[in-house]
Amino acid sequence: MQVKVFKIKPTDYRTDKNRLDNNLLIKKNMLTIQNLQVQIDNKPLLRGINLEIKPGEIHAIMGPNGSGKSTLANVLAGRSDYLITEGEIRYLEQDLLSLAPELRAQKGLFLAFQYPVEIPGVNNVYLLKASLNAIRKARGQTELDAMDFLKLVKEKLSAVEMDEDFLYRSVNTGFSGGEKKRNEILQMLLLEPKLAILDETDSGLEIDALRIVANGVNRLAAPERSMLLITHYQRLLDYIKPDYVHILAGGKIIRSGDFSLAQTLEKEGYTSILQEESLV
Amino acid sequence: MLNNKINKDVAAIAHYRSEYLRVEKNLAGNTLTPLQDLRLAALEEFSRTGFPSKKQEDWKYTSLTALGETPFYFQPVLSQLNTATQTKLEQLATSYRLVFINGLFAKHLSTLAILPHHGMMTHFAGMLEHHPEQLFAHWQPKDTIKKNSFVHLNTAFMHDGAYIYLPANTQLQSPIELLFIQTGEQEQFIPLRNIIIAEENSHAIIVEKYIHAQKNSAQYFTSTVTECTLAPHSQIEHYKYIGEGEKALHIGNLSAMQQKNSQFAAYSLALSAALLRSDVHIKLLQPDAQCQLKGLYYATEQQQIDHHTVVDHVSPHTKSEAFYKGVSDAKARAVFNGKVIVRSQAIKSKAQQLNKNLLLSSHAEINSKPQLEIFTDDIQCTHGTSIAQLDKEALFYLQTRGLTAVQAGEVLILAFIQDILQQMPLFNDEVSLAQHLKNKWVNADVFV
Repeated sequence: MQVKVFKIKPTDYRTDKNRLDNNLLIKKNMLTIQNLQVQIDNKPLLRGINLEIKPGEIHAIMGPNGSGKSTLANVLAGRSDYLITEGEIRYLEQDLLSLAPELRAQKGLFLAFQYPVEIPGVNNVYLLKASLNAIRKARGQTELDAMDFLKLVKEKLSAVEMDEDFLYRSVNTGFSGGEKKRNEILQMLLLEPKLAILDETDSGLEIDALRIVANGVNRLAAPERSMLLITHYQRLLDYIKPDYVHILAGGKIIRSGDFSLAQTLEKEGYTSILQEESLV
Repeated sequence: MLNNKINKDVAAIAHYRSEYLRVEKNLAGNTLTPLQDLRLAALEEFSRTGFPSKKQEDWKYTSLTALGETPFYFQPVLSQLNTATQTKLEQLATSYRLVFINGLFAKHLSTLAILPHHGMMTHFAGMLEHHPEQLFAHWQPKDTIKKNSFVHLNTAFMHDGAYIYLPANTQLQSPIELLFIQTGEQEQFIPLRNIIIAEENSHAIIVEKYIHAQKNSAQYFTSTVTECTLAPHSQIEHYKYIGEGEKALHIGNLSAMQQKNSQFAAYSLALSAALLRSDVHIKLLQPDAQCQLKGLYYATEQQQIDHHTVVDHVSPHTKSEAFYKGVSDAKARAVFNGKVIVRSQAIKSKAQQLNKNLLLSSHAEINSKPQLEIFTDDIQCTHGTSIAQLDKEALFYLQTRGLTAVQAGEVLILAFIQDILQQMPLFNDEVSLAQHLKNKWVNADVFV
């Protein structure tokens, strides 16, 4: 069987999917990353990332461990540990890198953490409400009162098949791996972001939890909303079908293509592509 | 340097001696010989030592410079409150309340009750005037902490404060609120002596609140000594809330002498004063006596908040638990020094001690020192301490959920203090506390 490998630079290619036709009318990008170079302690982690995401598109970034996938997610969310040496990120026609993390969140960017942080002493429901109201306020909407909020959150809880007691436990504290990831999806459903970045949300999940997480993500898919799925395995992509797949290795996107690229990876593994790029 | 310190000591001692001579005739109970003897002996003790120096281990981290340099004056004249504060007081009425303004009993603002079986809920000056025999029958001031010059100074000048006598089997359902309102007069010395005596099988909750009634209050000096005596099977829950003026000096001393099977709880919320020192001294004198000490302190700006606890296990099967949490921000300094002594007879005793701190600024300071002195085997003692900063991962996580860095910090600080608040039931009002912490220096007259 012939292995089909796309060798197009991500910024150059366009697909002609009918499904996205509606959105082609919208010319503006949701996210544009140009030549992003990032290091930490003089160690380069990203060596010139280029990526464009339009409204409604679902992109998957795949790559071996240590390729820079999580670095990219964290830089997008605004973690301050990194030094950005080159490049630009534009989000909704704005300079993303000049915005504090909370402003990014208020403008609709959401990161589902690979390792959701445990915060003992802070009620989950308290965080959910504070978060939703901060974002509603930024959007010029009125803050929700306790009653309306509870009604809304209960509806979202059932979507991720979580019990109500989750609301009254400390944020992620003592949650199982699956519960933590579901809690991230719950937050995402509630906050209804414009751009959702899921950092290895599938890792460590057993099959039922994976299905729940994927359902949550699919529920949210909409023409005006974009998603960036970061994953090591193709497994998640059995449930969420991306429009584009990129392979990140050695701090660069070395391949971009459609869903078939992920299928290729599933069969061949990363080795042949990495060898071709002299990365191993 | 040393000469300078000695000179200041001499000046401070001379000041309080002349102050004593000036006000002697106005002090409550000045015609009672035993009391006069007590005052004079205390004044001599104070004159011998002066204020403690940093060379004394217990005062190593406490800067008393302001106390030595500023002369404070005792004014035994009842001040008036402004109408706004009075109205607020009325709105927040409690079943039992004793109000003191600048250290003097304000009867018109107090809500007193007649207790059954000759119980007393009144003020110290009133007892000295009307029932001195009854006072001296139950109160042994010589038993309380020695070797503390602030207690000596307080004893020399003691004039008013609360007097609570709970006869056997008296069980009060509502807390007794002792409200000390300071109007913040310049250079005022406010000595307070509170006496709480719980006879067999009695039970009460007592709340001591120190608050200031106006913004930008001047530098004043509150000196408190609260003595609790617990007879067999009695229970006292003691709350102390300190919200003094921003320039105020507050030196407080709480002691409890516990007999067989008695239970004492001391809950403390230390929020404001320029210098705040809170000493707790517990003696577990008889078997099965138990005490719980809990506290939260929150220091900011250039505040100094200092907690010292001593629990003395004298008898077998005694039990103590101490848990304090603290936050230090800006250029503030906080100290926790907790000592547990287990005497040779105190076999099968249990003592737990834990202090956890949050350091919010690189200029803030925390000194934590849990100590154990054990003179016997066959006991269970644990102690621990920690000093941490806000969790950066958690801060980032909250920010990515739309909270500003300041809001995220507040959420984490409240999370940090939440467990200790839950353990102090009457203080467990998170909303008003959060508000209070935010407005620490903005609202002058906060009633928790």
